[in-house]
Amino acid sequence: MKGGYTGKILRVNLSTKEITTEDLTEKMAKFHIGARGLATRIAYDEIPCDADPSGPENKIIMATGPLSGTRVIASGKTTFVGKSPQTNGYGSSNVGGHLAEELKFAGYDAVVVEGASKKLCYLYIEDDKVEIRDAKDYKGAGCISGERKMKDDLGDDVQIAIVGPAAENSVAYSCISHDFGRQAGRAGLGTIMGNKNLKAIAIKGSKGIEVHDKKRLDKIVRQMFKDAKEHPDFKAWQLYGTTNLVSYSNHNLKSLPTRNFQSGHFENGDNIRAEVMRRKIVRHDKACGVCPMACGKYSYSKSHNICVEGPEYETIGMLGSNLGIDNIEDIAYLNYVTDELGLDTISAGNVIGHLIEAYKEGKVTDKEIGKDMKGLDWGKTKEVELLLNKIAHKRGIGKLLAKGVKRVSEVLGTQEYAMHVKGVEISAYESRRRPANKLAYGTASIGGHHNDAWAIVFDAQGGKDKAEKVIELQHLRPGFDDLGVCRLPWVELGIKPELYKDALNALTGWSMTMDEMFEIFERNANLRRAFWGKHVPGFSRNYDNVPKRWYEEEVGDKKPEEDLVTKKEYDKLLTKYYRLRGWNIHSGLPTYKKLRELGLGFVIKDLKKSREKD
Amino acid sequence: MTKGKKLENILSIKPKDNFEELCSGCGTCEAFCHAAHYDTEGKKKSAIKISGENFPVPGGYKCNVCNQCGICAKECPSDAIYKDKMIWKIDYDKCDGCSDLEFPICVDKCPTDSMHSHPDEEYPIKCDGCGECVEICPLGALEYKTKQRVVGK
Ligand code: SF4
Repeated sequence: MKGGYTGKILRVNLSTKEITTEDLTEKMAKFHIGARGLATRIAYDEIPCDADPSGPENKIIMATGPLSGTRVIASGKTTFVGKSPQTNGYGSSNVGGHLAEELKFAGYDAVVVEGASKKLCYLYIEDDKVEIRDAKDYKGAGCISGERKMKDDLGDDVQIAIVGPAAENSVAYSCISHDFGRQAGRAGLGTIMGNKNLKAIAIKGSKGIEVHDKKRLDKIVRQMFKDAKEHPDFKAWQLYGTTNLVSYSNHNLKSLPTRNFQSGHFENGDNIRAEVMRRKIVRHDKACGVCPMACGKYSYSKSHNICVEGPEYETIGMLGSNLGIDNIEDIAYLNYVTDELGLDTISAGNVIGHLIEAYKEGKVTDKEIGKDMKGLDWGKTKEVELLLNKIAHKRGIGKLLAKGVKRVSEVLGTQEYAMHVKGVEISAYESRRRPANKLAYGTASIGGHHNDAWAIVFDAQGGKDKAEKVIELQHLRPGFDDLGVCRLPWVELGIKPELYKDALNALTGWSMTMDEMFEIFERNANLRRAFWGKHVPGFSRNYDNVPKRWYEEEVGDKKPEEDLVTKKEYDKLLTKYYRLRGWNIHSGLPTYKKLRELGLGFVIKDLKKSREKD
Repeated sequence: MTKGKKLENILSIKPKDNFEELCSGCGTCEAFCHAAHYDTEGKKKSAIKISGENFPVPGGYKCNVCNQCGICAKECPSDAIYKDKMIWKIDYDKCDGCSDLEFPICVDKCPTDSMHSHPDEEYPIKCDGCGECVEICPLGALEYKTKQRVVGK
């Protein structure tokens, strides 16, 4: 290949200790682009349909895209893909920081980790030198302190993806942590590493990335930076990052999750908004590779004496308002505790919110939550901290909570307000009055997450073609993941998607059009869906339902009912979505015709086999 | 792009005094430095280096970039480092990369750790004051030093 890609995939088998490399063919690159698309294809092809997500047959694939590590704006995204321990279905999560560039500088587009190690180990990659090393010195280490220790041992120029005690203890929603506070948080990808006894992946590279047309790329990247800097929202983004959304979400959208999504408005929300946080705790900005937006905020809480990257919007929502906590320093502290333990802040906040509500409803007893807890209520930081530790170490009630909100609710009989889709806890956008966003959550490829599509502003502006919009977003937003860049410069600063296509062409020497690129995005979306069909016998449209709470009034709300999206309306919208997608309206899976159209004919045999098991 | 006009007045490139508050660690400066001087995209051949050794506590980034002190020129056994306007540059006809040593002498002797060697490059990597990093830095954390300090007052 002429540029953009390194053309190499590294494969490491932790059972046999075999380490090999293989070529990434241009054909494959052109078929899925890279990063998330490529990792999804490898996971689809290689993980057997009956693989236990916590067993050695599961794999974890870490992949970069053709734009990763270049001067393209915010080019620092890596995607991890595997079979999710939370859902048995498709799992994927991405992380920024400096991992993607380092892996490419080491000479690899992707790493496939298979098998499982008997002893705790870590993977060390330095250009052509690849080793599986003993990790006993890091056993039980937190994500943040463990990364420091590893950098002290290996050098500060090594980039590290690490898991914490939660993953070592196989908590279902463990995250992969990098760069002292960035995470591939969702769908339990960290759990897969934990189950493989893989504590960390440490990478150091020395190489550069080839470019087909340097002059052209030069023009494109300068245009991107110019457009970003000239955008009226640029300064606000640098100052506040995603926390800018807290106020807007709370007051305008009414989507700030509050007390386990009982409401979308937190009465004390102004205490945890962007300006308060910047003034009280932010020390400096912290960006991912080649990103001018610097949405990461590095904070110091005086009252708790800790430093933490964040909290960002999701964490303020899930560990703040969703738990009734209105003190920004307390949220920063809980963020720190959660990060260090290696739990996903979104899932952890969701699970704990559920537990507090269940306790208040009398579904859990004092004895069950433990004597060390003085009961449970909204707004109690100390109790939340205790629960986080119980979860990560699977102590007492933590054993149950570690399984995720779906299982918790099945045991407690509290399904009606278990805020998840497909077993993945819903992230920080209360959506009961937002049809397109509900559809986005319902049909998101990993379960309750907003990465694939986020349509809440579209809803608020009264957008009409909801199903069409969700589909468009589910192609373009993950498209940025496929390219190996962050989508935020496009979402927030309006950097044109065409420029990314041009950059791809300048790097690779291809002459891809927007239409061709969108066809690949659609192919990748269908393959993500097919993963569910292959791995989950009996998969049907029921999997795309959203929680019952989202068809009901806000708790304590007196607003007229008419703007609620009823189950009937949701079903209608879902059917329309399937029709537009060319998916079966009962199974919710791509039709054979659609699969053939997209060059995914090889999927059909797997879907047939899976149907036989129904 | 080398800013020929500016070069006349530039004494060196320097992190601003409040660099620790400003720098986000994005490494955009490194990426543009690397790309301005070599064929590939990357960061590893950048003459400016950003590092975050202080994480997690207290956090903050550090910048190593040449202050054009000229010690490298004094130490170079081949007299390969010369002054162009106010900037010290490597004469690649004279430099032999100290091929008999593990590190070039200039890299070894640089008092601010701002000269580098790279396994694939014959010659050491040195800031030539082109200003790519200053121009692109999105947080405005870098600046040109344009006025000489009064020495020995
Ligand atoms: S470009 Fe600016 S903000 Fe980014 S690392 Fe360099 S000096 Fe820091």
